[in-house]
Amino acid sequence: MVHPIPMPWTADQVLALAPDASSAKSGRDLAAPRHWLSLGTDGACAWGTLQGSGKSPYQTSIDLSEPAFKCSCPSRKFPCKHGLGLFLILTQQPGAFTETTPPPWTSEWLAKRLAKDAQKSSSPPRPLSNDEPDNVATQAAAARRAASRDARVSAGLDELDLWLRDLVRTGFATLPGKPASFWEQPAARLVDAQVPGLARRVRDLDGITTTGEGWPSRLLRQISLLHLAREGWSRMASLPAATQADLRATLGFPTHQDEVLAQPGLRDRWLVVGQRIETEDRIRTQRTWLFGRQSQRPALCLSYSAGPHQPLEIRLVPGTTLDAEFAFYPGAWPLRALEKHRFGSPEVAPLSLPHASIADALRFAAEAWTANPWLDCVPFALASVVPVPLGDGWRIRDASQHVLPLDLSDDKAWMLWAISGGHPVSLAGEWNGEALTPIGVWADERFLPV
Amino acid sequence: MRLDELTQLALRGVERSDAQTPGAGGPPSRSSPDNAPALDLLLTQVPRISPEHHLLSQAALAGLHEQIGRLPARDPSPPPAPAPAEHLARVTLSAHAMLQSLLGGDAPQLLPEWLQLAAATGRIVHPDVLPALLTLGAQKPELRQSITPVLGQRGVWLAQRHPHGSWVLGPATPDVSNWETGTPESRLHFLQYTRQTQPDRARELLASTWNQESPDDRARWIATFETGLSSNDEPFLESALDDRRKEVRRTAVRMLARLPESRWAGRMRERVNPLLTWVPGTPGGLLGLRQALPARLEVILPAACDKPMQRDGIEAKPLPGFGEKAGWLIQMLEILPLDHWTQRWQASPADIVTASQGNEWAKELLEGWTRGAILQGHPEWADALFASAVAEQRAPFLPPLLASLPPAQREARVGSLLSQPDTPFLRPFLTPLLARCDHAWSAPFTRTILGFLKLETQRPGADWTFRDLLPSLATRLPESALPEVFSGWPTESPAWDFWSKGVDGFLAAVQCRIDIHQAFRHEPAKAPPYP
Repeated sequence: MVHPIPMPWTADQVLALAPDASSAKSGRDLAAPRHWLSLGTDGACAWGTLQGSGKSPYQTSIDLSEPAFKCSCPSRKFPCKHGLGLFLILTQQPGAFTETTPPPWTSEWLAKRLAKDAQKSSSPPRPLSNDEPDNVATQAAAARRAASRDARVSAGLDELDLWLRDLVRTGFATLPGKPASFWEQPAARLVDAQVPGLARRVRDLDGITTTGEGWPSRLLRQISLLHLAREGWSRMASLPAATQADLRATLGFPTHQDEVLAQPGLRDRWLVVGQRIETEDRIRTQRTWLFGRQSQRPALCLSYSAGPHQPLEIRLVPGTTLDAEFAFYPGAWPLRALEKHRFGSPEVAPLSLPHASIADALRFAAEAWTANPWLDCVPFALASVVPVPLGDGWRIRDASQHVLPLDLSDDKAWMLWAISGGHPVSLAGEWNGEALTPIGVWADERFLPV
Repeated sequence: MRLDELTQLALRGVERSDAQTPGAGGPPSRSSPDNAPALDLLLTQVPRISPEHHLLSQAALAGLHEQIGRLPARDPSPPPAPAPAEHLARVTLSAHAMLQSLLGGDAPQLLPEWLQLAAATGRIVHPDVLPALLTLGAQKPELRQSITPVLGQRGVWLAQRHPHGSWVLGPATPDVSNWETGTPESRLHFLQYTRQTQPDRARELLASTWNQESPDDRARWIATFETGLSSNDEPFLESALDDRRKEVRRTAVRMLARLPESRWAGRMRERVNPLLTWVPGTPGGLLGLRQALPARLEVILPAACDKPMQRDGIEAKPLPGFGEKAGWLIQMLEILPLDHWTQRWQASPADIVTASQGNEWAKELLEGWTRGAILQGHPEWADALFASAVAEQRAPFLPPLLASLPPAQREARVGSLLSQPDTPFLRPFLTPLLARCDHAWSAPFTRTILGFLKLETQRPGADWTFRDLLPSLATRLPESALPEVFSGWPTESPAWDFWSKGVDGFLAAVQCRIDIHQAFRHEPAKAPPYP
């Protein structure tokens, strides 16, 4: 029997969940009902069994509200090929799902997940200020640690200041061709001084002299932001609380997730406009960008993975909308956020993007950088632009003939141009002040990752 | 622009400039935008702790000012014309997902089938795969016919702009300037094109510059005579027998051999006719007093390979495995059109093959005729020779002969071969034999092959090339046979470890074909159920 399933999932979206290309391929190979001994769904979850290389059949379950996966196979990939295959059949041949009552191994797993959720939301957030006697000692210790760290940070920033002054005193002209160690050494010192955020910025300077025309200006911009951080640190106490938070985040001070989640969240219907994954030193960083439908506010969710077997967060699926509450990290222009609570399953909702024009989007960016000068990039979600080729590069153009340069590979640019066909599309991307890197595009009501 | 001036200063280094930094006093050196006075005012307020500190602080202000104050650039030029609307519906999203995985390198052998099914159901592709399809068509001309119908208006629009799209728009009709001043590719294209409609004009143009062409080019140009070949070309080809380049001479011989009236053919017949004599068989008498005699051939080997013979394409040096004189005969039998013999002796290829067998030079005769059937692609001769090669277990010739057979005969010959209980002499040639069965298989032939494969995969195996061939066989099965393919494999056999890799690939490709057909069979108007 065919079970009616409220299901916004497409094969594209399911395959986007695959941790790597070979998992996607294996998942597709398993996406045929004949491989499965049983298939079932009750609309909220799906399950199936199949004979693997083990003795007893593998048991695979999917919680469709998230999605979340569970499989009894020994694979360390997540989701495994069985989960992907099962999900693909659900999107392509839902009629093949004949069972309607979840087997014990699915319902038990779901129950455990529910219990965990309930525990998460009912347990009171860890109190941030606590005057119980046994915490006084801990607090004192924490204060001592903070003081010693602050001293170390100050010393590290003084050293950074010397280095920055050297750069502008001797002039940039000698910088091209400097060995990597020239940039690595001050960066390593900053790591020792417990300011990894600035260390990353110093490391990113390596290679800036090879970025073509205008590199001295780009370099000056970047080191002036380092200078700004150092200046800000020296008058930290006099800064507004939100700016203090931005500066701490820029320096790389950790903020505990619990602290963030303890704050009141913002409930909205959030549209996931796109995702980018960058790899540096084998650490993968996934940036997922969202916009609230009512609030028109952006949110950035980060996920890190230290190796091929450590999965990135897959609960935010580009192109879908979810009714959820997000808690923001503190700051003058709150952006980074954590999902606090989710209401219902993600869905594909009619599109509504906040930036009607390029001018709108640039005003939005101006607001952002006015509030937080250290933001690396600002998300744009443009309702109607046309991608056009320009010489060797590409740009977008809106109805009032305004244009913005794009930063993307030729392959992707041609795909974008094919998708638009010279007609307006909706486009989301990361704006770094010089160029927009597209991350998602909508044409004919269909979302495509870029 | 403040930041520009500050950058100049930073590039030089503050130690090499006077103590004054811009904005520290004095008027700004350039005319300022509207809100720059505010920035100038701020810049003057930056405390001068040190020149370096001053520069960095000013740069922070000016840099942010520039970034925040950025106004959008305007481009008043008219935008490129948008693509026209589509007349045809797009394929379903599940068919689309399948195409993406085929383009991504999974089972690329199934691409043509996907494209043909899409065209047959009157559907076009989603635009995101268009650049990949344009590139594919540029790389694989054999797929172009299947790609064009599914591109839609958007595809043609993109092809006009895409670096790999020119093939969609069709080659421009070449004119003689392409021949006179074009690149080697466009000259070749001109010749090929002109041979189709005006072969004489193409030849005359070529003849006018023939002596100035490089040997490599001569070899390329003369191959175009394949199209529109006629006796008008004979004088030109005859003179090409004196070319310095061997490749040119060989091509000329190949073309001349297809012209029975050519001087070359006449000379070759004169040479070879006296060497072979057909002795017709005689029927036996009623009382058996006179025995029935089968037809036979009498053979004399050529005495020499003189200069004229060499000019006509016969190489004097011996063929490996044959005597010198036998080698000359073999070459002549290979190149002379086989129809000459059936006409001359009024006998069928099968008769002639049978008659050859009793001869002391049987090996040489069969070698020559087999090479001829392969070179000339002659179906009747190939069939007769295939039968004799099977009977005499001369397996190496079987695969190339198979390529000259039409599908029905191919299936009959291979089918009967593989249904024999055991044919060890064939085993080394299974891969090329099945590889040459590259036509669309009939249902009975499919059953025969599957039955054979299920037996063969029980044997302890080590034939890697045969195992690796299996996945490619999936494209040849008729659609109706696909669902029956999955059962009956010897999965419990000890040899299965070896064979399963190939069979799994075969079955995966079959499954993929089923999925493709499925995706085109269920054609709901819009695939994703948007809430």
